[in-house]
Amino acid sequence: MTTPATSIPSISRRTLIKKSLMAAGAIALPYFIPSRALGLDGNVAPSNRINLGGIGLGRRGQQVLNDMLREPDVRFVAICDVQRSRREKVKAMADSHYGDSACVMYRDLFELLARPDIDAVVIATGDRWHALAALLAARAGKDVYCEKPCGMTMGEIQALADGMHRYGRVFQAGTQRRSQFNFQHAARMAQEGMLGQLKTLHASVYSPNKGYGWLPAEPEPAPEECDWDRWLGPAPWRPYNERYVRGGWRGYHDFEAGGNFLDWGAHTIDLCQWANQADNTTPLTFEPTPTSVRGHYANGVELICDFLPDASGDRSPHYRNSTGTCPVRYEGSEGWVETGDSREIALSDSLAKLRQRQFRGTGISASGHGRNFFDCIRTRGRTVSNQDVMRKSHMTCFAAQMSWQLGRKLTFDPVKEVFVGDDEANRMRYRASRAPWSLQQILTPAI
Amino acid sequence: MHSFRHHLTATLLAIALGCTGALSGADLIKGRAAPAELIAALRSSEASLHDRARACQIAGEIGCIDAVPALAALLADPHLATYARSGLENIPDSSASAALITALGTLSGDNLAGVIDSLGALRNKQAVPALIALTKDTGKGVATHALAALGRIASDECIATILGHLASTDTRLRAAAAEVGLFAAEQRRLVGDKTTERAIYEACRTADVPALLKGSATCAAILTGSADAIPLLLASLDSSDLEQRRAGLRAARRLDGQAVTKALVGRMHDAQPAERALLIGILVDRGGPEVIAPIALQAKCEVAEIRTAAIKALARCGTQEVAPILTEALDGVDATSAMAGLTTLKWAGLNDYLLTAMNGKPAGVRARIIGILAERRFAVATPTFLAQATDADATVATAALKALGCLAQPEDMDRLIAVSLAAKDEGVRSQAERAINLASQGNAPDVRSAPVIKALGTTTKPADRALLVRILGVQGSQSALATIQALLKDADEQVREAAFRALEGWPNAAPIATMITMAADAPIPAWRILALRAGIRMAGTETDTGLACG
Repeated sequence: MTTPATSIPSISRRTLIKKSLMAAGAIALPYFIPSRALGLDGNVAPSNRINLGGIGLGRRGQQVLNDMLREPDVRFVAICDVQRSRREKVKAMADSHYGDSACVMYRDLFELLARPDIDAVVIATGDRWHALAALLAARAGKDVYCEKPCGMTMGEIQALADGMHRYGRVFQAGTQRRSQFNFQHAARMAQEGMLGQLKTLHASVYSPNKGYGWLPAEPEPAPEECDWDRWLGPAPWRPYNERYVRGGWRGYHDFEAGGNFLDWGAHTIDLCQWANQADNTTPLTFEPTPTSVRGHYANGVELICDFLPDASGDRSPHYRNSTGTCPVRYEGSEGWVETGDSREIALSDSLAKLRQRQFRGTGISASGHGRNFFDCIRTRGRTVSNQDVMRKSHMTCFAAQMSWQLGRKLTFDPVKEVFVGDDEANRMRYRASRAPWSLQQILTPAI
Repeated sequence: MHSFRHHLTATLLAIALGCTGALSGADLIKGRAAPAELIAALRSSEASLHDRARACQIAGEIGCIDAVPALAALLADPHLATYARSGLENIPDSSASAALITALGTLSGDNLAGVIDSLGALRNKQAVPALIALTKDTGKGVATHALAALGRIASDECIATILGHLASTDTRLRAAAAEVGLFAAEQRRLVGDKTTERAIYEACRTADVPALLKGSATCAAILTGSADAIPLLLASLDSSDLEQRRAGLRAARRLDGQAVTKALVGRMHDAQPAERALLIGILVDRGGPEVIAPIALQAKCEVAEIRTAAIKALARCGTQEVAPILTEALDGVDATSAMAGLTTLKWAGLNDYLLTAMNGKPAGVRARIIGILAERRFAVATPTFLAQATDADATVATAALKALGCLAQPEDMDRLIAVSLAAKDEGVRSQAERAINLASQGNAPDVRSAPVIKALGTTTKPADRALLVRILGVQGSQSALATIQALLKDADEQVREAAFRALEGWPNAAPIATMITMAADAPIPAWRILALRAGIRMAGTETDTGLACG
């Protein structure tokens, strides 16, 4: 197998335009073009559009894209997927939306990333590829929206966060609940003392499990139909089975980060970190019980990751069934708040008077999260789920999961990001990647 | 085959659980004992690929030192090489890294690249000479992998090699050297070696490498905080290169020091609108009292984008000085940002200030100020809100009633009920009803119902009585129940309907007997069905400890 070729574009379309303007005597050096550059008919001028590409957009990625297509200043121009059927489906989505056939399909992500006109990418490949694809994109000069979990291990998360800083790209993790009103409101209640002194944070997670088996081997399809080697990417080799590529990769140690823990945990634990104003740290200890993992922050707050067996069904005793999927619950000395994907905000009776909200909620769905990403592309600001926020919340997720896996209490140093006095746990922070897809060495074409 | 595999799988499981018959779990975890079956699996041609792959992983998980030779033998395997490396990377013994170094001389292609990656991951200094040689041997196709591994190890010798390749005639190798150099500089920063760190950034900045990497080096160089950091920052903002300007913006956010803030403030005043808007955001990110006045000045700019950027920035400042500007902005396109800022502004005098500022303002602004005061839990303003609940403008009245929903006290109920009954606008009336329900939540059940029952005794209009009945139905107290049951025989149809609906939707099972009776003999057939359903529901009703709001 040859080492993939890539290139770092030395000039973008915008730079070319700006250089031409400079030569013509214009004095402005735009960092972004202000709204007055919008066309009179409301259409966004091409030079003011954000050109977006997609990498590995399956079911979840298509949901995200569906929201992003509505942004008037964004144009989805390319899709890369190792599966032909998915490439074609996403292209059809884009073409139908724009009423043309301009969306280009790629099987090789390096070809997409080599396009100088693409400003940003959305990555939703599945856990095994997230960190590497995001770094390759950043290295190619693209800003990145990356679905969660953003990496397979603590090591990948560290490399991803450091890399985003190194390349100076805008990064948004796909933890879109930070942009949803009900979750924002609940976090604000916790942060501003409306619950009294914050005591306990409940984060719902799927009951963790880890699978090491292999599905029966099936004949590999032609690469044009499904490039199995590229689908695997940095994951260790195993024989092809169609079920993996149809979404059945979850639950396997080699493909899913954190043994199912981060499927919801990347959201709910992240929300708890936010409520506790702990975006720059993690709990210090993690201890498994039969039904949860319990973490303790330096400020005395307890994080309880409650195991729920599936997405629906009875949530008692920790959550109300009516709050929906991904419930979180924050408990303080004067009351509690609970919310979830149903958008219901449940309050204890002691906080009954807070049920009247003064302002209509404006947070919506992934579209608000996407809008934040696109706004930050223009201002070069920090997104709500930037790489540093993502880093600590993912560290918390992985530490909790490792505590469960090892079946013992772990002590974690949130500054050095190492386990204290536990070499076995520290070795679990990294995994070997299948060559040549090494995250650690951030590829350029091998020579 | 089947029996061997079955035995093997069971053994692997037992090993993973640390409970083999012949060896203790502690021995296995220490990696000193050699589970013969594990190694046999690694070497066996009978074992399946899956079992051998899993054996590699387990060998790493339990740190099995004696498995090193068997793992090393798999480093050339097209399917198992990654598993073998994962095992070797996790075995805490020099024999594992020695095996990887030995393999450098025998492998090629992706397998060689993988072993190099593993040595980089292990930061193995013994591998440095071999890795340096590989950076110069472009024929093997792993030069950049070797460079990356050197960047991870980041010894003096490694860094010298990396920087040497910045002058390579090969474009890709130069780019790789710059990239790896940045990484190596970060490793040096972690050990406090600023001198080397700065030297690397300077070398990368001035090398013939892609713009993005030069920009990254520039930003990093600025952030080392050297004496020329500010001039370098300003020069990057002036650059014609987009990546240099972006580097400047990033550094502007993160470089510490009042001198930096002062330089950026000075630049902001003269900047073109596009850059000025960006600098406003950066200054507020930097924080500090010295940024408020300059940004406040921008809030008066004739350019709309600048004003909006300034208002958004001031909304994040949270200090007393910005209150007048944000209050003024409540009447305009930036009202949402202003509201958010005023709601969280930390000034003890703000509530009184806003209450006074409300006078004479347009209805929309007054409504927003009411909402802000309610969010700030300014209960002192309740009498004002009660007065505004009868405002001719429905927007103001609604906002006041929303505020009363969370601020009104038991002694305010009589007045609140009077307001709701006097309201002509359906939306206002509905909001008043909601406000009464919410405001009474914290009281004991019969206490909360008393003023409503009192009002019911003096109100004659059927629509008003129906409203009061609905409120009692939500409250669900014993006194409310008795009152409503009596109203099932009221002379007015609207009141009877309201009474039935209230009982049908009762929050607990208290009216179950009434529902069962009505299921049989309610005068309206539809009521019989509804009563039956309600009775069934009430038969299974559990006490709910918390009610949800919509």
